[in-house]
Amino acid sequence: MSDEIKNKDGEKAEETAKTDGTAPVEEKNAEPEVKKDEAVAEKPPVKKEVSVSAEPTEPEEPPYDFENDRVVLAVRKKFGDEVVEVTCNPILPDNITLEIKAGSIHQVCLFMRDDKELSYTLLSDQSGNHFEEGHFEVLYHLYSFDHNHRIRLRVKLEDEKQSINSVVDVWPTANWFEREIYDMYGIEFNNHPDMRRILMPEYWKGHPQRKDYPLQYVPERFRENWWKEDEQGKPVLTYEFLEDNRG
Amino acid sequence: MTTLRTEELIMNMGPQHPSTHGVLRLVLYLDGETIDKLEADIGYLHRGIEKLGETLQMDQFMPYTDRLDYVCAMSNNLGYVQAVEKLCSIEVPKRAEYMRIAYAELSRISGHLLWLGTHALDIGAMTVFLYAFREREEILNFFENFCGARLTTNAFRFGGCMADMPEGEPEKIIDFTDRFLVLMEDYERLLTKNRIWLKRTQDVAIITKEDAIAYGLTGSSLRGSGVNWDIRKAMPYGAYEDFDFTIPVEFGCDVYARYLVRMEEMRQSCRIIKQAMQNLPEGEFQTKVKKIKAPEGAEVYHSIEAPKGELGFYIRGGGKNIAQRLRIRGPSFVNLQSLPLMCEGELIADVIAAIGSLDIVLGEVDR
Repeated sequence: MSDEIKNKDGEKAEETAKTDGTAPVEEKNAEPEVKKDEAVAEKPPVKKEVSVSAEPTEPEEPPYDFENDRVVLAVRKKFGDEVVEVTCNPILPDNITLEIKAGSIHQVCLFMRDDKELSYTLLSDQSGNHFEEGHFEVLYHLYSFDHNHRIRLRVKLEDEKQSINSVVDVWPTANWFEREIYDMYGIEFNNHPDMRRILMPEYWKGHPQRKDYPLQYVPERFRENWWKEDEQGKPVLTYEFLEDNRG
Repeated sequence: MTTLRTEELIMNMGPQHPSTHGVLRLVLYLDGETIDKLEADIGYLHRGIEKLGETLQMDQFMPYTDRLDYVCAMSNNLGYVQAVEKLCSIEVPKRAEYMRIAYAELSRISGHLLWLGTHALDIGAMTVFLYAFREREEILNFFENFCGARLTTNAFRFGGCMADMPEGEPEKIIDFTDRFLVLMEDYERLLTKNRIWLKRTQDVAIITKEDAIAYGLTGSSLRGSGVNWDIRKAMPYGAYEDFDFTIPVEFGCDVYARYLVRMEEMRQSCRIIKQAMQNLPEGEFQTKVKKIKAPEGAEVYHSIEAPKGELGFYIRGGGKNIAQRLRIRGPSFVNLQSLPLMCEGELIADVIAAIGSLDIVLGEVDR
């Protein structure tokens, strides 16, 4: 009997697997029960492989209508064209991203903190990103205690010299975040009270998190290697060499 | 009457100082014994872990997460594993979820015990340190039984854990939690109503609720300022919804309030561990995951309630199994930022209490 049941189950699972991408996972859960009934010792339990595909499989529910999300509508209504794009990870409806123009990020942040409907009072994280193609990103992860909601803001910068305003006066916690972004990517924030390196030494040249930054050990970058000896045994400062060859 | 001419004195505390809990350098601008201004200088332990995350395969990166907050590595493993699982939509068996939570909570207790011992030692109470490390040893033994390592555990894998729980281990852990609750009274008897302890901690290093939120304080320090926010309750991850526990909140905003919160958190962790071990489901501890592949451009920000606060991982897929960007939001990095706010106007001796109450780990600050 159990064999028949198992075969039927198997067929059903195969049928559903053709139509529905999520079926193999359900089948896996059902399997151990059948195995116990059989109590076959010599057969090792076969683990089902859950393949992780690059393309998100079509979800059963309709994708989250993020364009009509409460927050998206509120920011769009207030700022209009300043919101360049709204994206959302189809698998994770809580990962809505608003892309904001670099010029208006400070006003948007101020609005998102002070508006009673939004009240994103906590800046969870602020980070930078550099792409092989050459452009930069600054990401803001906001959290609202009142609504228990997270949202991500994104600002695209064509290069590190493009002007972007600091949000330290909105959330004081941005102070070290922005210093770190400056340290790692070289993006300078306007109106920041203390724009200097934070993790790397003050004398460091170059910005390590950029994609074009070399991964190898470069002796000239370390201060203990700045002094070299010439033929007479006198120390020579190689700092100028560094100035010319910064990465 | 002539007034004495005073001069501002600049003093370095650290990077080699026993009470800065690692290589933290504080520059104190002093007026007598009062602190006019305080600057924290960090970066002495910067190893470029985020950069490494962009060059290594996602599964190769796991051991590096141990080195973030090296006193409770299991929590870091959990945060990273869950972020990747969220990004690649990998299912995790129920048994693995329960095991993960039990070990993450054990590591929370071990982290808090280290905090308690060193914090009390900084302020001058020696015995608590010895007691705390006695219990911490037992927890580290559990880790060793499970994954072979005591500190840098590297214990979880995408889709489960690296190994099943050793036989008889759940009973041992339940036994430990029962004993631990009794042993905690030893610590409390030494500290909670100790007059010296109260004098050193009450009304010291105050940070108001509004400031705490504005400065991004998370974890026990935030709850010590009267904000009832814990990611385990607010946005439950893993199987935390299955467990019954409460979030301690104190309204004192001072060192003592943070102390009380952490002490109660250890008790609540014991409750979670006990429930997880008693109801540990049968089944597999690992899904067989074929290939980890993060879709290009897909992003995830996943944060968990680590012992120190909100530990967040932002991962952006690069199309292969190497992340295009791996950002770690270390709770200690953000919490440390509020130290000047707490200390300015206080005495030098209070700086030590304030650092202890923030519970920072420099591996996570500098990354």
